[in-house]
Amino acid sequence: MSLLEVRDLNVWFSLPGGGELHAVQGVSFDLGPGERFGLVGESGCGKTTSILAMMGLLPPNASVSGEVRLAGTDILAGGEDSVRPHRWTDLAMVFQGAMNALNPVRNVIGQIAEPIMLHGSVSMAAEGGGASMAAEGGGASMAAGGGGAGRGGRGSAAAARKRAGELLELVGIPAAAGARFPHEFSGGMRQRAAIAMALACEPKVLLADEPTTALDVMVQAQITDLLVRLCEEFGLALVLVTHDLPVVAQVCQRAAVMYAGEIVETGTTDSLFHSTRHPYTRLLFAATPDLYADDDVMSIPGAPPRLDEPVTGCPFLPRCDSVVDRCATERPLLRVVASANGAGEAGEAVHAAACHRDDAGGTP
Amino acid sequence: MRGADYVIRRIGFALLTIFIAITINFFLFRVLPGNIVSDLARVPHATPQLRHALTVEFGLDRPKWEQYLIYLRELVHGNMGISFASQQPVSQLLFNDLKNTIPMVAIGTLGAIVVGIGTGILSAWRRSSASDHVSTNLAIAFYAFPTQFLGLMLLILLGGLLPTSGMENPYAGVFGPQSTVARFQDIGLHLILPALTLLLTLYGEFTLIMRSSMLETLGEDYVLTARAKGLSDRRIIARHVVRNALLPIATLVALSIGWIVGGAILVEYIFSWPGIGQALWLAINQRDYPMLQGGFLILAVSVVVLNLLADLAYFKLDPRISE
Amino acid sequence: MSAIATEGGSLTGTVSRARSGLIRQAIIERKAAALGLGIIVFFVVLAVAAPLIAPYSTTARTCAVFAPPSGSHWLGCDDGGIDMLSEIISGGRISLIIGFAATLIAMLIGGGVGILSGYFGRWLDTTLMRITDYLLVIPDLAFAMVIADVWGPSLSHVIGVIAILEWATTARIIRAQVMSVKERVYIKRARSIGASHLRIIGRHILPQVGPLLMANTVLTIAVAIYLETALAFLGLEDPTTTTWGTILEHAFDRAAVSAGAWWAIVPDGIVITLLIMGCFLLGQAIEDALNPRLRVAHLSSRRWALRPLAGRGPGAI
Repeated sequence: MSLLEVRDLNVWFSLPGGGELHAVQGVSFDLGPGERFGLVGESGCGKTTSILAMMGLLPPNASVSGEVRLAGTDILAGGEDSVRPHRWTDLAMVFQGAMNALNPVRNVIGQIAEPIMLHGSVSMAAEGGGASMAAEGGGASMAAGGGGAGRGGRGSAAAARKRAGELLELVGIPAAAGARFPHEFSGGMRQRAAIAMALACEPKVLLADEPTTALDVMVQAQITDLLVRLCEEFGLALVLVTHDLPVVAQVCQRAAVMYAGEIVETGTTDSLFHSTRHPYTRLLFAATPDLYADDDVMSIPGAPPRLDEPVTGCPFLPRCDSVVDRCATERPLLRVVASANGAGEAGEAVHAAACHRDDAGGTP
Repeated sequence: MRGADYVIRRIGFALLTIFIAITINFFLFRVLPGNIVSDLARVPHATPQLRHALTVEFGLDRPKWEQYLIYLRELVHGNMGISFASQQPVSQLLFNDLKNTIPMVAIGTLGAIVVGIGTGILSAWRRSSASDHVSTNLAIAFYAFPTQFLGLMLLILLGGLLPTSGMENPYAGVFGPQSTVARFQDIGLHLILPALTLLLTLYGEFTLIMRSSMLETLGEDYVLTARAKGLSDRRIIARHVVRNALLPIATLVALSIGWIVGGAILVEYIFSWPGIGQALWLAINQRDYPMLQGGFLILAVSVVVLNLLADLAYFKLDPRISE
Repeated sequence: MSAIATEGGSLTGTVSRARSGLIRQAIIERKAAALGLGIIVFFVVLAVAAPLIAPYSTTARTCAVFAPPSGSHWLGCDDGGIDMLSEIISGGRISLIIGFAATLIAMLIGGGVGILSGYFGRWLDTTLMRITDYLLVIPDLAFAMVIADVWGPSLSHVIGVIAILEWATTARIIRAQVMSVKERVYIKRARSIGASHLRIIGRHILPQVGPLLMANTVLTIAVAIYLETALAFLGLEDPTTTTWGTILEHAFDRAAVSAGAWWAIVPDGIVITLLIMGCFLLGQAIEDALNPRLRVAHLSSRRWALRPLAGRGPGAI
């Protein structure tokens, strides 16, 4: 069984002037323990909304359908009340820490210690700091999620701060620096602190929202390395939301490309990068600057469709460079184009795309 | 220490402002057309002796710049002159008035801040709900009520139940000594209407400012972070929203201190509360210019001092200030 | 991460819309703004048409002292036997003249100081802002009392006092806006191709601060009228004129409260309140429309909703 199963996630925003915006349209994916999954797309394609919906962090004008199953239990089933116990203890988020994800008037260590104090932390009882986190059993903290009662060392402010200090050291910040305020940190340090904060209650899944955006290139590389190292060391699963394809290639084993609220292509990073099937993904690659080649960077002409009116046919049609007849009338669904043992439905699917051209061209 | 510079600069600015206030005060009364204090002919009941004493004390027969220096020198020694009306030292009279004004204004203003900030927080959190609409519209109405109208309304509605004039029952001590407790009870009763008027006239603005400050803060990313951390709404508001939303409030409260003083003057006038505002009004009506000059100076200085306190509060609340 | 969470403004709507259309938009979209504008227009029309509408003279005695409201005198009469309704209709004229004239002067000074200070910066900014800071901490009403008394009570003095007192806030707000606008690319470009300061201010800066200045104008009218009524109430206005402020003063002075003549106080208080409220509603609505930070809320007592599954089929792998 997968650790996390997202099934047919839909998000609508009701607009003040009446009408609705269908921001996320039937997004589904699975995540195994320790797996790193990328969610890629232009801004406004629904990738951030998707992960916010998974944690129930949407504003009141949003409505959601679909399931987010954590070890088999649908955490969205009861609305806000059923998600809250899972926040930070099971699912934690690494926000774009560059500016405002940290409260400017409270010191950094206090903000990291806060969830530990409230929800507790399994390894706080045990000695050995970060290393023992890897040994944490999945089931135990699931049960504790409801009330936090099963977690060790809950409540003690001093212990929570000590633990927060260890987490800071873990991400490469001296614990003593935690007494400072966010504005006294550099962008890279703030991002590290945001990661340390996400680790506070030893979640099973990290949802990272553009963690490297707005950082300079050297710092970006340090942050991606840190994320990979932490995931490997502690067996954390990661959903990485980004518009940056090279970052996905460095970090993720699997990825999905989103366009206009839906996943248009998904597969292993290797297969996605080397046998691209969807025209949008192809154009997205062409639009990514390559350090080692002199090719001109292309931009994709046109804009994504408006999401406040229904789309007939393929949403990418107006910008697509390889249209077939069916594109105008029939909306393409995700279809498996390659599996682990080479053939259609039988093996584990490694690559799927939502494009009619693949149909016409015939899959292997 | 963090931002010692900042504190010193604010204090410096406050002192400079007080100095400017003193100077303007001098020019307003002695140099501008009208030349009132020096025009001793306009002083009622002025005996030749008094005129002579005043002329000597303030150097009214000397050039203006010398008068200005004398004025400064006397002020430093706490001498604001002699009231034309009562022939007593202005500083002593004003000190008594200030003692009466402070409790009434403090109770009214603090009450307004507490009620305003409380309803502002609830309103913002329950944005667009029925209770938000009721509270916001009520706040707008009270903000729009002129203070004097509000005071008169309370006089009409509650005048039969509570004392409406002065600070104490003038006949209290007539038929025998009055105990301290009874005296304070009496003052407390007299205080209700003026303080309530001030509270109602001020709270609406605080509600509206706090509500919009809260709404701005609720849109900040760190609020989303706090929600993601699984904190309860109550805790998020208490620990991550209110303090940040209070930052602009500190400044705005400071800016409305002039407004508070204005409200206090009207309230004291309506309820004959024997404070600075009432003294100012009486001074105007009795052409008692030393009192007017002194009263205005005291009000201006209080505003500057309260402003300084608000600045320092802001400094305490916001770690980002260090320049 | 905030782009998704919109409330009170459509995603593609107000954010990108040109600022010039904002005032019109604010009035159309917000009931409060329309209500505010309606109230202001109503009182302006009433003031202009006062001589035609007022049923009785405001100087001649037409009924008994403190006569209660009746069919012929809808709002009763004051201590001099003068019809209250006529007094209120005519009194609005002078109150509005004072409010509008003082605001106009205050806006010219405040807008001018704000633009000069923000645009040119340096010593000019420092000097002007020191003056502004001083005016901001001065106790309005006390200062106005002193000045009104020193200068003597007259209409133009009251207008002057209020104008002097009320420009500082506007100058501060406009200055901040100009400072942020002048760093924009197109203005830097205009400067680099040698456009004159006058042209840049006229063509590029003014349109950007216009709506904000508008909001401030409306809000300042409210403050000016408030100050007018307060000064009049304290007896520092020309006693021969009738304004909304002097009506309350007369009522208080002639013991309308103890005579039980609420009609000499309540209707007048209500019209002042209504006009101030109208200005506040309109001004605040424009300000809110200009503030993008009010559109997002990450926390609310209301929650996102769950919808039954209505998927497009199992698409997961």
